[in-house]
Amino acid sequence: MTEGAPAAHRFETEAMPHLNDIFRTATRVLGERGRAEDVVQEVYLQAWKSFDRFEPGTNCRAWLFKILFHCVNHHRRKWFRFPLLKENEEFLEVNLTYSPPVPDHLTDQEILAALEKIPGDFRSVVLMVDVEEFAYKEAADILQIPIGTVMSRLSRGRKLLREQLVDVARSYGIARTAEEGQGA
Amino acid sequence: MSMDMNLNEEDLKLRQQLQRAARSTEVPPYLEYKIRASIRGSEARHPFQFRYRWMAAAALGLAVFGGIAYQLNQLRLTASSQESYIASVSNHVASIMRVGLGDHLHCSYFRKYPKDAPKLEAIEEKLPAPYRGMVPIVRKHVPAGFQLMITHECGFHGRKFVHLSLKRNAELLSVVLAVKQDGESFKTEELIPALSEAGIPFYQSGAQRFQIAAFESDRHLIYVISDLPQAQNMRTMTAMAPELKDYLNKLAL
Repeated sequence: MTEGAPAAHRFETEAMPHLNDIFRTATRVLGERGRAEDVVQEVYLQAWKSFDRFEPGTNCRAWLFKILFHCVNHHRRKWFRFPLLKENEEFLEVNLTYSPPVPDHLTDQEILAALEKIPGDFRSVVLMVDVEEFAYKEAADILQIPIGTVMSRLSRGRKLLREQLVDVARSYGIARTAEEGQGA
Repeated sequence: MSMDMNLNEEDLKLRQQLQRAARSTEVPPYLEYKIRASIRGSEARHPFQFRYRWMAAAALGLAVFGGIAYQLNQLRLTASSQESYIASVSNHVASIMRVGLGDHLHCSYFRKYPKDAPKLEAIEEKLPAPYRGMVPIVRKHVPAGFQLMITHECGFHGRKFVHLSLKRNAELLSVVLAVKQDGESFKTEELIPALSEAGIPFYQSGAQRFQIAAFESDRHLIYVISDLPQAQNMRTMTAMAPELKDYLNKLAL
C-alpha cells in the first residue's frame, strides 16, 4: 500500500486484519469478553485517530498491540485494584523452586483457565512472546518495559503456567506429583 | 517473529498448547461492525477531513444529524450494519425462530433506553387495545427486577409484531407476538419441542448471547427472547404461557 492511498483504505487493509489477534489477547489479559470488546473498540478508534502518524511499511500489528496495552493499563486502573507485582525473593522462592513438565491431554479451556491464574504482568509477556510470537525487543516496546524484564517475566510466567497446568492435570489424575517428577 | 533460541522441548510444547488454546477464541461477528461504525462516527473529527472547510461543515452536519437520530432512539449502528448483524445471528436458528429473534434484535437490542422505566400507564397505551391485557400477565411472570420499558406494535421485514420489551440493568427480555401467516406453525417446521407443560409444547433455540423460547396459540406465534441463561429463559416462558395462551385464544381479532 502506498503513502498516497486514502487513509480509510490503508486502515482497512493494514489494521483491520489484526482484529482477531487483538481481540483474543484483550480477552486473555482482561479475562472477560465484554470488557475485551469495549477495549478493542477503543483500540481501533484510537488507532484510526492517530493513523496519520503511523508510518507505512512499519509493523502495524505491533503498533496496534502497543495501543492495546496502553488502553488496558488505563482501564485496569479503573476496573481493578491489582496489587503491584511482587517480584521479590520470597515470591520466587515460594513459586518457582521447581519447573514441572507440561502435562498432555489438557483441553483448550483448561489451558486458558490456567493462564488466567498467573499474574497479569507475567501473562502479558507470555501472550506476546509465546502466543503472538513477538521478538523480545518488540514485546519490550509493546509493553513499555526493559528487555531484561521481558526475559525474566517470560521465564517465570512459563514456570507458573506449568505449575497451574500440573494442578489441573493432577485433579484429573493424569499427572505425576512434583516430587515424582523431580525424582524421575 | 520471535527468534527465541533458548526454548527447550518443554517450553516448545507449552508454546504449542498455548497457541492452540488462545487461537480458539473467536471475534464476535458484530464487533467488526461496531468498530467500523465508531470509526465512521469519528470521521468528522479526523484530521484528514478538515483540509477543506466545506468538508468540515458537511461532517459537522452529519454529526448533528447522527446525534439527533441517536437521541431519537433510531440508530445505534447504521441500518446496513444492523441488518448484517441480524442476518449473521439469525443464520444460526430455524426460520420460524428468526421471526421473533429478528424483531427482538431490531427493536430491543439496537435501541437506547431511557435511564428510568417510563410510567406503566404511559407505555400500556401504546399497545393496541386488544393486547393490553398481556401486560399484567407478562409482568407477573418475568424474573424479579425486570422493568417494562416499551410496549408497542412494530414492524420488521414487512411483518407486524406486538412487542413488550423489558430491561434489568444490562439484560434485555422481549415478549414478541406475531400473527401466524399461511399455516405457520412450529409443528409444520418439524421442530422438536424442548418440553411440554400443561399440554403446551415449548420450543427453544439460541444464537450467541440470545436465548429463544417459543410456543403457539391458535392464531399467534409467541416468543420470549433474552440474555438470560437458557433454562431461566425457558422457565419464564413456561410460567407465563398458560395464561397468555388462554388470553390470546379468547381475543376476538
